[in-house]
Amino acid sequence: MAQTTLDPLNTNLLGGTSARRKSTAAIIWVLASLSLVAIVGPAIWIIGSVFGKMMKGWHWSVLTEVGAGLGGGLLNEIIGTLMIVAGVAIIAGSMGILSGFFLSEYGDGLLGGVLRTASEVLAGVPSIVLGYVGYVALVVHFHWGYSLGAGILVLTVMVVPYIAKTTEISLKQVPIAYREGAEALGMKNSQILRRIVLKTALPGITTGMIIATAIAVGETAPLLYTAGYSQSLPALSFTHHPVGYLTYAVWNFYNQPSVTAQQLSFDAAGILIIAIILLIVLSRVIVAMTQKHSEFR
Amino acid sequence: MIQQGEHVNVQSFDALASGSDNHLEPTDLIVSTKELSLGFGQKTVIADIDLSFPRGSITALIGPSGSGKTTFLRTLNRMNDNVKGFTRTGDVLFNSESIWSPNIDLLALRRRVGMLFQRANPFPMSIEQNVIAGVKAHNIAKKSQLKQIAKMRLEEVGLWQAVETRLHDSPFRLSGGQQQLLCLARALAIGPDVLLLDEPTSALDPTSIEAVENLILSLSPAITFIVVTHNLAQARRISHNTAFFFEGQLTEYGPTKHIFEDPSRPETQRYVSGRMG
Ligand SMILES: Nc1ncnc2c1ncn2[C@@H]1O[C@H](COP(=O)(O)OP(=O)(O)O)[C@@H](O)[C@H]1O
Ligand SMILES: [Mg+2]
Repeated sequence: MAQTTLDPLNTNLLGGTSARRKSTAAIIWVLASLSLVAIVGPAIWIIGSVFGKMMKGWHWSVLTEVGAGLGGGLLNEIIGTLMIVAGVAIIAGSMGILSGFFLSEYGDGLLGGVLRTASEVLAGVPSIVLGYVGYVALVVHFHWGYSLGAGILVLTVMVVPYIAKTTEISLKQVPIAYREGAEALGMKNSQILRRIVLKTALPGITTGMIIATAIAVGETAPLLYTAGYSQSLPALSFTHHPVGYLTYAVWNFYNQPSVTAQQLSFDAAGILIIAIILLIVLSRVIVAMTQKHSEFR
Repeated sequence: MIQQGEHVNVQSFDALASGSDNHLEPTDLIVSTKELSLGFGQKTVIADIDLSFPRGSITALIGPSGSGKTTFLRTLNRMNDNVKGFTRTGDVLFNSESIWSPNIDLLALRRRVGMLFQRANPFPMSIEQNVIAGVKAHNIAKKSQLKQIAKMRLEEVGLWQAVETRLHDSPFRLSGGQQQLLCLARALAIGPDVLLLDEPTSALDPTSIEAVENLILSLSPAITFIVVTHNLAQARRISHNTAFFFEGQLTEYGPTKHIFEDPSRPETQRYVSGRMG
């Protein structure tokens, strides 16, 4: 080793490499900055223009009135979206977290492999196909009609693989040294799980849940097939009552030749963006509150 | 103070020297292994180990890397039970009873036989919560006593002054040596009879090493120590007896002085004189 370092030829080569390394670093830095701008720029532009248009014609009645033809407010869509998202968060959340837990703790065998593959295949199915399957199976075959239940179930199928995967990964990333330390203290498995493993995995699980919820908030295609649309307040019923939701308002009102309708479209888009920002903030707060003593901060 | 076993005459530690005529009552042995063979899958890691640990003694396990010291140590509180592919024949007795006997509660066993790892592994909770994690899990003390216990154990390991003002902070901002002392305080808090230490100081600076060694000496003979170490000087400084593991065998076992100054086997001689990894 020492010999090669002293070799003048090698020293030269090393010097050359160092200069080249510097210019490579500079190029990478420029490329990275450009990609950052390429991502952040459009995001800011979209958010800015949506908010600008929303604010220009904003009426608070948008939040308090239901829709009326091409006018009125967005209360029915806001409540509908909240109900759909709550349903997905509860059903897909519990299914996904339990599956992810199963896969990480007992998923080494054949069953785990089969489940994991099935989940990956499911995650790859386009959402509009899921929507169509939901339409054929739930809306038509089970006679649920366009309904809250059909919408929630289809979105659930869509995001469960995602939640399961992030849960499994987060649990597997909990350092084995924590578990062994706890085992060596004679802690029960349930205690180890609650006090140490879940707590450590929580940021990952939360992030997965939030992103899944954000997907559910932002989906349109599968809901068109399953939840339908309605301008009245959603009924407290899982079946037979179509539900309005914000993404429908964005898409539908934007294509109308009416200024009030287009204003509603921007209002709905603005509200969606605010909802997603709130979700992200919420996940950050949860992470910050639970990870005060984390090793990996 | 929490009771930690009985007092023991230090002289009797040397009694187990191979070839010694001294007789020890079986009850003086807190842990002993009977024809213990361990392996993973098809591979045997160590075979046929008969090794006894007198109550209150400090035993050093030495030997080259890969000679099975960790595997042996982890078997003593059944940490290997659920490791994939782990195989075992033979037995381990704790207070003359098999640790796999149906009468033995695994969690209670681990409370009696604690463990400290090579890399300090505090839990992701506050310093104070770390110390009392085991106490809470075993429901040893009332809620109102927990703070007091944390303080007592932190004082015991000499960490109190350093952490007094940051009991609610993360343990990961402590130095490596302090983290290891914290883990020791956590292990002590549940009142173990035996502590298994796997190279507990290999990642520490000399000052921390000295702190840990002094602590081991001061906690003995109330606690029986079984210490894996690559640090031969450390083995000489702190242990009564030394076991030399080599190529899957317990090559030699006896009083530390004997092993280091007048070993019976040429392999031991080569290892302790530093002529072998
Ligand atoms: N979980 C495991 N699975 C398979 N082999 C293992 C496992 N743990 C240790 N071994 C093997 O057992 C042998 C002894 O390892 P170890 O007990 O860690 O030795 P030491 O602590 O003396 O360095 C090594 O060859 C190691 O590769
Ligand atoms: Mg080892």
